[in-house]
Amino acid sequence: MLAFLKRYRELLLVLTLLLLPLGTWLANAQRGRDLSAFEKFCLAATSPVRDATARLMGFALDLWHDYVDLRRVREENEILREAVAELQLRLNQRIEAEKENERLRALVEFSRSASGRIVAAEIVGVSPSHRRAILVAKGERDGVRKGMPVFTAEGVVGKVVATYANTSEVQLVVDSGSAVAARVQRSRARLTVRGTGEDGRMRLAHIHRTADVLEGDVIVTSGTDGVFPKGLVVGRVGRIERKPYGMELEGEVIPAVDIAGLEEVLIAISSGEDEGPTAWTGPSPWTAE
Amino acid sequence: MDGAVAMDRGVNRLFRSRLPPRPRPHVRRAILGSLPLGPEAGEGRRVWRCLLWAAIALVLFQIEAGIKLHVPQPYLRVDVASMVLFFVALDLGAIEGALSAFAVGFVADLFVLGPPGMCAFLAVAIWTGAHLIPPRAFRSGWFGPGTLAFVFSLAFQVGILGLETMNRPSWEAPGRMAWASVVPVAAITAVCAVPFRSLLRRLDRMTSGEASLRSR
Repeated sequence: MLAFLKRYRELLLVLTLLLLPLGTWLANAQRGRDLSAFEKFCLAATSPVRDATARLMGFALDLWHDYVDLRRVREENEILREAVAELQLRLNQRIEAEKENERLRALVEFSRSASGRIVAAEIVGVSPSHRRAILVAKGERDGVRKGMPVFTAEGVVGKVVATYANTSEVQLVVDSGSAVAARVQRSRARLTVRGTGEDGRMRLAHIHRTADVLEGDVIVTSGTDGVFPKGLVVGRVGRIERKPYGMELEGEVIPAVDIAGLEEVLIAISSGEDEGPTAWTGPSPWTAE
Repeated sequence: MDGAVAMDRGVNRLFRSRLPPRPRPHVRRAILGSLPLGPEAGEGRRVWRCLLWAAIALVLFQIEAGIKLHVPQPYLRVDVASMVLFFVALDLGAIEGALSAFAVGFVADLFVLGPPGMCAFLAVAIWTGAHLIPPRAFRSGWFGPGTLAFVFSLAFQVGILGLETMNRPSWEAPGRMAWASVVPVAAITAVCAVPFRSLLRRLDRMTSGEASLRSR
């Protein structure tokens, strides 16, 4: 018997190991599983491994999700940037359209108020030389001729000095070669406004030192130079220098028109029924003050 | 005469050195003769290691439980029991192997939470079945052992699901998803089992002090 067991001990062991769990399973197949104390101990003893793995896995997944989110955020950021740029462009276009609309409306109202034929012209170029001149998109085909006055609702811009088929060159009032016959609106004292070549400054000329001129006085065209109609605003008197000697006053005039910001101008093609300089009687933001 | 015998032995030795190493008799019996299995000298002293393999399986099950907490997809799973059984069946001797298979099955029972003894029975049955396979099937390369690990996992999972289906009422039986996950899980197990077997073989050598039984 002992020899039999010794000879077939592996076989018997395997059979036991097969039959023992099979019997256990068959006996408990219909019942629920209740873990024994030993089984519970085995699970509890190794549960820290599970917890550590879960934490490590959670950390790794969080890291991965953060990375993915970061990539998504970057992509989303790019998309949003593009959208913002597009919206900014549209907003700018809208603002531009509104401003253009305002300007054109002012020009239209202004041109309606003036006698004679007036055409609006868009500025298409600026003189690249030392001269302060602009190129406007109306020329001989539109009836523009040399010497015609150019202005906006704010005031005098300059005069046409050269004409082409579709464009005209306008000498600005701030050009150093420009001179406008003018008058102090308040005291009616006569004077000439000359350009200095600077955008924001002109100078007084041909005004007697005793003339009634004060800082802040509005200067309007007198209509006596045969170019500009009477009553257009040229600018406002700035600093005045009354020297104890000499015949004339010295002072500066601040242009009524923002030369650097010009986009559209009006050109007086004909000056009304009398064909002389148009007498401007319409509203002006400066004269209204 | 003596010189001729010596020469003959020298030729034989030379000829034998060109052939793959011949398995020892007890190894041959363990594989081809299956049962009864020949005793391996000193194997009794290594029986304690069945607890080591079971402990490794237990830790692996816990690790998998921790991973499954975050990756609950049923298809993404390694059949830990089959992975350890793969090593146990291929690399351990008869007594240690059978006991280890039983211990691994016992551990699997803790996690499967079916009737006690189900996984232990299946593990020992698969271990026994593995000893009927010719050793050439899993001695070299990756394909043979990989296929074997796949078959191990497939058999183990199908066994569990089949027994559960037989045992439980229809509304408690494993669902379609469980059956559908058998093949992908077996494939993942096969991929993991081959390198994992190499690790366990190293551990086997470290703890036994000699080369793995069936690999010699």
